[in-house]
Amino acid sequence: MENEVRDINIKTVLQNEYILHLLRNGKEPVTVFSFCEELKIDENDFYSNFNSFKLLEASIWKLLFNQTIEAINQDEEFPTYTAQDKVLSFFYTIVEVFKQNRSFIVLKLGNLSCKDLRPKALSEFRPLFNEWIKDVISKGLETEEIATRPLITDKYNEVLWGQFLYILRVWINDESRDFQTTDAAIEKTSALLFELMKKGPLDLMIDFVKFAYQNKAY
Amino acid sequence: MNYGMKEQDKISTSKVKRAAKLISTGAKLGGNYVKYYAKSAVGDKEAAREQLDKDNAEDVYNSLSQLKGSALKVAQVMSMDKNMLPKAMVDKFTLAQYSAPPLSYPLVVKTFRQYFSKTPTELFDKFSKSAVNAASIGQVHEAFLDGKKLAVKVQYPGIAESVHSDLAMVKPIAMKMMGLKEKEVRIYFEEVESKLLEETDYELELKQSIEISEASADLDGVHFPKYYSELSSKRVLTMDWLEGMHLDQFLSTNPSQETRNKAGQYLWDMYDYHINNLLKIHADPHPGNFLFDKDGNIGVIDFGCVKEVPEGFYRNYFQLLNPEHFNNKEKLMKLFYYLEFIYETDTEEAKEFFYKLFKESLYLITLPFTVDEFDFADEDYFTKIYAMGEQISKSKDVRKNGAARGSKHTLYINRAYFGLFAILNKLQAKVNTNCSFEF
Repeated sequence: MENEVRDINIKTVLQNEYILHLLRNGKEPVTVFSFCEELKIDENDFYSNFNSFKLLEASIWKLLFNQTIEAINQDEEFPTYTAQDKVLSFFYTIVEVFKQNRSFIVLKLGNLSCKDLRPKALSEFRPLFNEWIKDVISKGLETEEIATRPLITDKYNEVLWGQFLYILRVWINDESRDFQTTDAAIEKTSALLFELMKKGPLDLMIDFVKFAYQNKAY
Repeated sequence: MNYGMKEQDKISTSKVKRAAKLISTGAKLGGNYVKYYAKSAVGDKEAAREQLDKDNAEDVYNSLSQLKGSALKVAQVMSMDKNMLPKAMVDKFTLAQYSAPPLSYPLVVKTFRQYFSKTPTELFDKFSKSAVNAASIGQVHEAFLDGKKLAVKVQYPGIAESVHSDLAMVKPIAMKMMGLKEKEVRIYFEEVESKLLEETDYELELKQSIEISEASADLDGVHFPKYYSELSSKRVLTMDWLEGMHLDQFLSTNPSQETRNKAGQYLWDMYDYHINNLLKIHADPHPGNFLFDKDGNIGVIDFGCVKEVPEGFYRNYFQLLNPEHFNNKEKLMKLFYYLEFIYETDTEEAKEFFYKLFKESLYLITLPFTVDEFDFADEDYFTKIYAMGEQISKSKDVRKNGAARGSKHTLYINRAYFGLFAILNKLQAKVNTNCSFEF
């Protein structure tokens, strides 16, 4: 038991120190050995928690994600939210969590290009996001807030991942007071995407084209 | 008193000079637009003109009260300066205006967390998830606390940041509409920008609202919501929920002449009290800011635009109502210098011209003040004002004399009073127009 508590502490210390090292030097430590020497700890303490810096970094992203979900779940009304409001809550919360670690995130993702849909830094973060968002989408499909469309429905999570990357880029470059531009970006992209995902003119159009094609009614 | 000192940072030195705008006090409809209307809407008939002017004024007022955000401000400041925006202009603004969808509930929650470290439902007993009403730069939610019904105004995010770019979008439209050059419009837009930024500060509005509503507590027939500073912040403003009907709704219930007179009187007395006792004026008298009950009592909301009037200016301005001054050329001339209607640097010829012009128009504008009772249903009076405004806007002599005329305090007072006159006209009210200014 005591050991476990100590492990958690060491884990946190390593995460914090790693971030600090990154922020001070602008790059990761040369070796695990030099990093541990800097911290005056045994190399073993590092390896018993993480096999590499890469995994250490992945754990930091996981931590940020979990903090976000935890904060969201504190809102008692959350389960009653529509899918759109859930997604909005998620984004508003995650930018708050990110704000606490802005320097780290800007360092890691500062050069994020709009063409890069799979940023390496987020490779461990993406599956967590995907899992969570798929759950929200499936609930939205149940309540018919989101329309079921063959082939496309399975890609909704990808679309929302794209939204997340977009918001992240806006936030990284946001120079407005209280990051109000990011808030507006969250509002507007969500309003647009959920409008597109619900049953609407698009479905009627496809339905009509299908009819016209099948009956040669053109 | 600096006679002849031209105020440099004028709101406008537009092609149609300030003189024209000032004199017509909210009455001038650009000649072209009237013609456009006359031709396109009712055929080129003189007879239609009178009705048209009236309809125009009404329509403009209606549509102005529906504008939102930056476009609203541009229209307001322009109508303040051009005195009255023709309907066609307002319509274009309506098209140009940025229509934001309502704020999502999570964003409202976030805003509350940011300023109060609590969610709306933690702060209030009940809080409506969706907005019940749109305000010009935010939306209104309904809330309950300790059995009291409250109105909570929440501001759209990034309004302050988007002011500049929003205005840039409206600018080309404004230039085209008014036939002005970029250089000439710029001054309007700088004024709009600063006004709009001021209005995005709910803390300032809270302070103004509390001050003015507390000072007006003893007024008859008008009531103000109570404002709650502990439930307000930079982007959230909480006040009592006022029940009542908007002007149009009120009029559609066919209130008796007596009730309409009563409502008009309450409004008149409130303005009179504010300007004479507090040296402040609700400079945004568009109909949406007043709520009427069936007995003609009035609820006053939205103090985003309160203008403080400097004492010296106030003293001199209201001297215009003094017959002793009005009929004495020397004294009136002195006032005109002070109020920057006429400059020492003007040529003798121009001085004489403007003296006559201002005197004539002031006679018309101050008419309600000079009698004991004034019937604002008098269409003849309003038609005369419109006619005068149009005549002035066409006058070559006015355009020739470059410098803008009238300090900007005059603009605000005129805008406020013209707004008041227009509402009283809609009410068709007969009002006891006493003025508590002591000569």
